[in-house]
Amino acid sequence: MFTSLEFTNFRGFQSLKLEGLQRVNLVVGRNNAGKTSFLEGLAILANPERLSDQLPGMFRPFSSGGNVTRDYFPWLVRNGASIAEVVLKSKINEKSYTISFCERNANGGFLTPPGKTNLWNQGSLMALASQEQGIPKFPIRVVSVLPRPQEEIVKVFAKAVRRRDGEEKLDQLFHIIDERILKVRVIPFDNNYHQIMFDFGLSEMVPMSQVGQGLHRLLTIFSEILSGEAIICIIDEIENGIHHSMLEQVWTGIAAAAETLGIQVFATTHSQECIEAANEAFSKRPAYDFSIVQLFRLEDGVQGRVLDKKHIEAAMAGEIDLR
Amino acid sequence: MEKPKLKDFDRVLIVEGYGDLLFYAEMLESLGKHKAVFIQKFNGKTDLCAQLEVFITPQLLAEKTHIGVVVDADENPDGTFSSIQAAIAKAANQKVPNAGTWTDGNPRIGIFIAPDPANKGEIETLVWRAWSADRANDAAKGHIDTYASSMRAAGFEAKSREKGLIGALLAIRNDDDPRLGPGARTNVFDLEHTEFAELRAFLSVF
Repeated sequence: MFTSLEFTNFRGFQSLKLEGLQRVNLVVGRNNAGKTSFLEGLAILANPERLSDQLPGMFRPFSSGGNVTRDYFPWLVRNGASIAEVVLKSKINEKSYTISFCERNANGGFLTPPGKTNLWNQGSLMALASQEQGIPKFPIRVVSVLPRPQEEIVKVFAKAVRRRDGEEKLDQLFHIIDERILKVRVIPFDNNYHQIMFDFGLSEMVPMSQVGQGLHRLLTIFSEILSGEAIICIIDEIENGIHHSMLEQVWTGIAAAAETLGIQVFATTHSQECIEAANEAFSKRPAYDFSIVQLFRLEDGVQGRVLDKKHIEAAMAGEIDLR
Repeated sequence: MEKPKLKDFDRVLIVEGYGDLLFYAEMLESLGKHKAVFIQKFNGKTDLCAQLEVFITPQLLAEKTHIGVVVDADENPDGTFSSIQAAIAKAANQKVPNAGTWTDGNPRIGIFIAPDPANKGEIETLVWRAWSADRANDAAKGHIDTYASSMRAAGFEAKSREKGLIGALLAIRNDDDPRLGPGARTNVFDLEHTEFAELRAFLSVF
């Protein structure tokens, strides 16, 4: 689990230092405050070796045919800084990791500095890990909360239950959200049609189309997390398409999933209602393992800070807008 | 009328609650500053320091020219000032030297402790001091004092003496809403009275 992060000369961040991250973290900020850049930095730090090909399209609408060496990777470097000045640091499970970068030299090659391991190179930029500290390898999963066709949800759900203990874990999570739910299953019907059904202990199981919006969304989120065996889960604009009255239930589910599956969640939002719902959900849990990461775009770059329980609750009591 | 928005102002006055907001709005209006200052109310004094630390963001510091805080001293003027001073120093990296003063930083940040930097009490203490100092109010003051004495003799006493006295005054003078802010709005008090000189000097910096 990330407990601290440090970005230097990475995208819009001149010097961002965040400490006190929790199991579930909600990233907030105005448009263009650096939320997407923050998630990219996080993704690089979580699993730098495996992401160089996935990163361009992970959070941004980058077409697969695009020229990443020209239109993506050079932009990881803060305007006015050199490639060698870009440093990403993190503390994960009490261990420190540093990812740095070096530039292609005049001969067209890279000179890996002593004590560093080459992770990948893209265009004029090579990513490096410290040999002494090792390379972080924490699988990440970007969960889409956008509404999607039922067939697609069935596929993700089926993938999740194929994992060892997947079915039991999903049942357990849904039971935490709503104790009436005994199990959730994929039932085959005619013409190769499959339907996800909820068992509420009634005489018949209830099809997914008939359950509430919150459960519907949680089904997707839980399935995505489980199917990907993620350690770090990222949910961009979590409130998207969810009625505010359902947000607390969604957060309760995310909190349960994060704890039960041992994952860390980073979600983003533009919604104050979403922040309030998260606070409500975590306030009812034995452990308030939740923080808010605020990002601010200022003249000299993006700044940020982490709000803990005391400050989040004070903000709620004072009706202070945290977005 | 459209509700004022923080983003539309470059000066912010932070107060403890809604009642204070109404009073300070009147005071700012009497200084001709009401259109220049956004008043942010919190939710009482319990979480005030944590609320200040959250409310004062790097964005707020970059966008505003003045951030003022007015709070009641209650039983401990020095302790109240010290805790607000520390919260502001943590959030804004600026140290307000004394109660009733402003920093010279960017933005300027000021703290006023009511009734004044040296005495226990609340804003009601200051307002009662000003109202009862006016000879024109002698008769009414006598009746209110008699009422308070009678209640005390019957075993009832206000937690805050001046709050009780102001409440008794406003129960007659502004019976629709006998709180300080609405009372100020209906011109019960002379906001230009000399007793308000320190507070007015502080607010004039906006």
